Amino acid sequence: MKVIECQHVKKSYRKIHALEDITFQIEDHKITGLIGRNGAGKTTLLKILAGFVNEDTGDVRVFSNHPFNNLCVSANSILVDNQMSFPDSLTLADILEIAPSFYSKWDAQLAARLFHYFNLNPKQQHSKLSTGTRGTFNMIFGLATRCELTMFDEPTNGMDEAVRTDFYRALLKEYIAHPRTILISSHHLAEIEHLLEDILLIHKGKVVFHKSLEEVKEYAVGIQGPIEKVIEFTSQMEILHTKQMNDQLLYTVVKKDGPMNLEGVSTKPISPSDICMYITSDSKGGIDDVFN
Amino acid sequence: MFLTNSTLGKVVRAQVRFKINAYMGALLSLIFVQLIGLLFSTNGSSTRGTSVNNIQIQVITISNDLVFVFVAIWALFVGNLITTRAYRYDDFSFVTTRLSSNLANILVLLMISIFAGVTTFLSNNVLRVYLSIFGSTEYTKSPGVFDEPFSSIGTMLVITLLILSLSSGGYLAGMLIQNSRLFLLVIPIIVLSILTTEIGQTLIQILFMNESTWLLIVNLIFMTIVFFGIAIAISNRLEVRA
Repeated sequence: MKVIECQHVKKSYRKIHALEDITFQIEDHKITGLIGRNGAGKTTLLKILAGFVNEDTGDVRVFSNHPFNNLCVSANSILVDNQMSFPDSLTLADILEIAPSFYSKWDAQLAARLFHYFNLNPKQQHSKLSTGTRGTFNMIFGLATRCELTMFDEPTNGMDEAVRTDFYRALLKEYIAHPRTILISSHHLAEIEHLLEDILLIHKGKVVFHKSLEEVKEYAVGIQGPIEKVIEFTSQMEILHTKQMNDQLLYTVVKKDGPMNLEGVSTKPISPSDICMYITSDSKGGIDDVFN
Repeated sequence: MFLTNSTLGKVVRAQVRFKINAYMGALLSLIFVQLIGLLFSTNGSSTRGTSVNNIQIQVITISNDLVFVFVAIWALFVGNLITTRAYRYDDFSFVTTRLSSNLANILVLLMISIFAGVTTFLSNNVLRVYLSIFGSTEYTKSPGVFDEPFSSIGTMLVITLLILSLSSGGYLAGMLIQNSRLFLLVIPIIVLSILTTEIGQTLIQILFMNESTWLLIVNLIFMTIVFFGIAIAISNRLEVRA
C-alpha cells in the first residue's frame, strides 16, 4: 500500500519557490532518505506531509488523505524537527506522561529506557535544553509514538558523535522491532546511508531521482586518465563532475549508461553521497575552481 | 499497516487535559490580578459623611468592581495570548487539527472564565472579612449568596459571560493578527470607532444596556459564539512552523 503520494506539488512562500514540481510515491514499511542541499525544499516537503503547511497546487495524499487539517494523518504521523515545542509549564517527565493520551500506540517503556540511557533530566523544561539534548528528546518522543509514518527532519543537528551513532542504532532497532514508514531528511547522506533502502533526491524544489540505494550506487562512475582520452570517452556522456588532477590527468564523473568499454583509463565507483553532491552542484567544477 | 482511529471528541478531550496542565500560569496570574484588584478596593470607591449632633456618620461604599475591571483586562490578554505562535505550535507537537485545537482552546477559556467569574464574585466576601478585621467600620452590610441566592447566581453568570466574551474578543483579535500583522493597526481603529461613533454607541446600548438580565445573557452568549466562530473560520488556514 502507498503511504505517501505526491503529484506535481508546488509551494511558494511569497516570492520564493520552495517546491517547484514534486511527484513521488512511497510504499509502506520503507526507510527513505530525503536528500538535498540546503534550501532544496526538504523541510517544506516534510511540513506539507505532516499537515503543517498547505501546498499551493498539486495533490498530496498521506494514507490516502489530504494531510492539511486531517485527524487521521495527524494521529498516525509525526514530524520530528528542531522546531518542535512544548509548553514551559511542563517538564520533560510531564510531556512523556501526557503523550499516551494522544498517541494510542505510545511505548512508555521505550521512552523511559531511552530517556534514562541518554541521561536526560526529567525535571527540566524542553525550551531550556541545549540543541543536541533537545534533538535527543525529540527523537525519543518521535520513536515512542510508534506512528505509522515517522518523519525526521535533520534529526542529528547539534548532537555529538556518540549520540548520533546511538540514534541511528536506536532507529534501526525500533524499525526492525516495529516496522513503519520512516522518512529521514539529511544533507549528510554518508552518515545515514547504512540505514536507507531508498533515496529521494530533491534539488531546487524538484525531484531528481527516487531510487533504491543499490541503483544509486550504480548511477555514476568515475573515469580517470590522460586528458585527451578521458575527453574522447566522455564526449557522448552526461558529465556530472570534472576535476583536473595535474597537467596530464583528468578525472571525470559521468552518468552510467549501459556497459562501457574503457581502455587506457581507470574507473572507480562513486559513493551515493558523492553522486548526490555532484548532481546537485550547479557548476561542474569544484570549489577549487573558484580560487583558480 | 494498521492505522489508529482518532475521533475529534477524543482528541479535544486529550487537548483540554493537556492545556489545563500547561496553562496553569494563566490561572496563577488571574489570582494575582484579583489580589491587586482587592488591594486597590480596600480604600472604598466613595465616601459620604454627615454629622448629626456631634455624631459623625461616615458611609463608605466598598465594591469589588475594580477586581472585575482587572479581571476583564486579564481575560482579553489571556484570550489573545493563547493564539500566539508558541501556544499554537505546542499543539502541533501532538495529535491535532486546527479545529480540535480551537475547540480545546474555547473549552479551556470557558473553564477559566467560570473559575474567574465565580471567584471574582466571591472576592466581595474577602473584602468584607478584611474590613471587619482591619477596618474601622462599626457595621457592615452587603448582599450575600445566601440572602439573595437567585440574584447572586444571575450576577455570577453575567460576570462569567462577560469574562468569556472578552476572552473571545481577545481570541478573535489574536487570530486576526496571526493571519496578518495589518490587524495590529486595524483592530484599535475598529474598537475606537465603536466607542466614539454614534452607531457604535447605539450598538453598545443594544447589546449591553438592557432592562432584563436575561436579554444581556443572551446577547453575551451570541457575541461569544460569533467571535469564536469567526476565529475558527480564519484560523483554519493558518500554517504552523512555516
